[in-house]
Amino acid sequence: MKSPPLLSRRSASVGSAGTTSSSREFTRIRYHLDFSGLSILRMSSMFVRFWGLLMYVLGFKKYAARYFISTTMNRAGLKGLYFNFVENCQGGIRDSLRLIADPNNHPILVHCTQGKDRTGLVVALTLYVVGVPQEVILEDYQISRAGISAEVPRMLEEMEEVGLDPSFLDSPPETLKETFEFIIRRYNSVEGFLDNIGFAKEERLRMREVLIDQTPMATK
Amino acid sequence: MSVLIDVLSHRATEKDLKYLTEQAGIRTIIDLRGKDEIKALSCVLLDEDFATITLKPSTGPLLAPKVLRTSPPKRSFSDPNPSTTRGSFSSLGFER
Repeated sequence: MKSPPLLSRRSASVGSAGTTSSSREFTRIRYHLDFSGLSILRMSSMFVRFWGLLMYVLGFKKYAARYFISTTMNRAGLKGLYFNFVENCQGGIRDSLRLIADPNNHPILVHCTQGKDRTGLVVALTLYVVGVPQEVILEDYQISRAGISAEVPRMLEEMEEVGLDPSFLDSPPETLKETFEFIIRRYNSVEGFLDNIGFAKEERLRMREVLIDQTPMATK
Repeated sequence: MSVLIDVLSHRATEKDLKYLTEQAGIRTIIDLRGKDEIKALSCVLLDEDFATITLKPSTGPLLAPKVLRTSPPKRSFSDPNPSTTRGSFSSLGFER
């Protein structure tokens, strides 16, 4: 497989690998992919962008975030956020998938802040590529509901502080399902979307080959 | 997958991630947080802290049934004051 040339070195720290007789020593590889970044601003109107960015530049980051959240994110909802990821975060998605498709990187940990939206989308697309049925992907995604339950009270406080709607804490399978439907409407198919972002068929086949255990069950 | 969910259920800190690299053999971390989120963490371990990690040779431990049954990591390996080490919504700026 081709190495991922589009991975930005600006955000990646890559080390070397070596082996010993009984153990393997290697430098941990950590990729910071600014998945959403300012691209999320594209969700907002020019008016909101102007005033929000002005506040941000002047150092009122918290007010800027609150303004942007109240005028844009809460209106778009979780679904709108995911659609925005699909449209405006394609580089981050592509780079993540390429890293996951490279067996030299395994085992891999993917994370963000809540671990369900950005991470959830990347993991969902990975599962799709390797052929996991959609209902299983949706079921897997909604496990985050239980997973973050212990943190919900604290997260709600934080969300209230910046004016973020509590619905962003949820991970309803319908949202991911509608995101897949959005991808299909926009790009004709999930494969079409992956082609469009530069994660080609050969890479998808490679990912499938790498992630699926080919050992027959009977021999285990 | 379960390992990830277990970890994320506790909103993994930098120290949690270090634990994962050492105990679960994680070789690559894909961090999808924005720069503002990362900067907001007051306790960020440098990559040098992770520079040399000795692990037993293993292939695909995340997919191994033994690992999939692993319990969520105990909070004991985390910072005793988690509020100083975790990302928060108020620190996210324009990102989430």
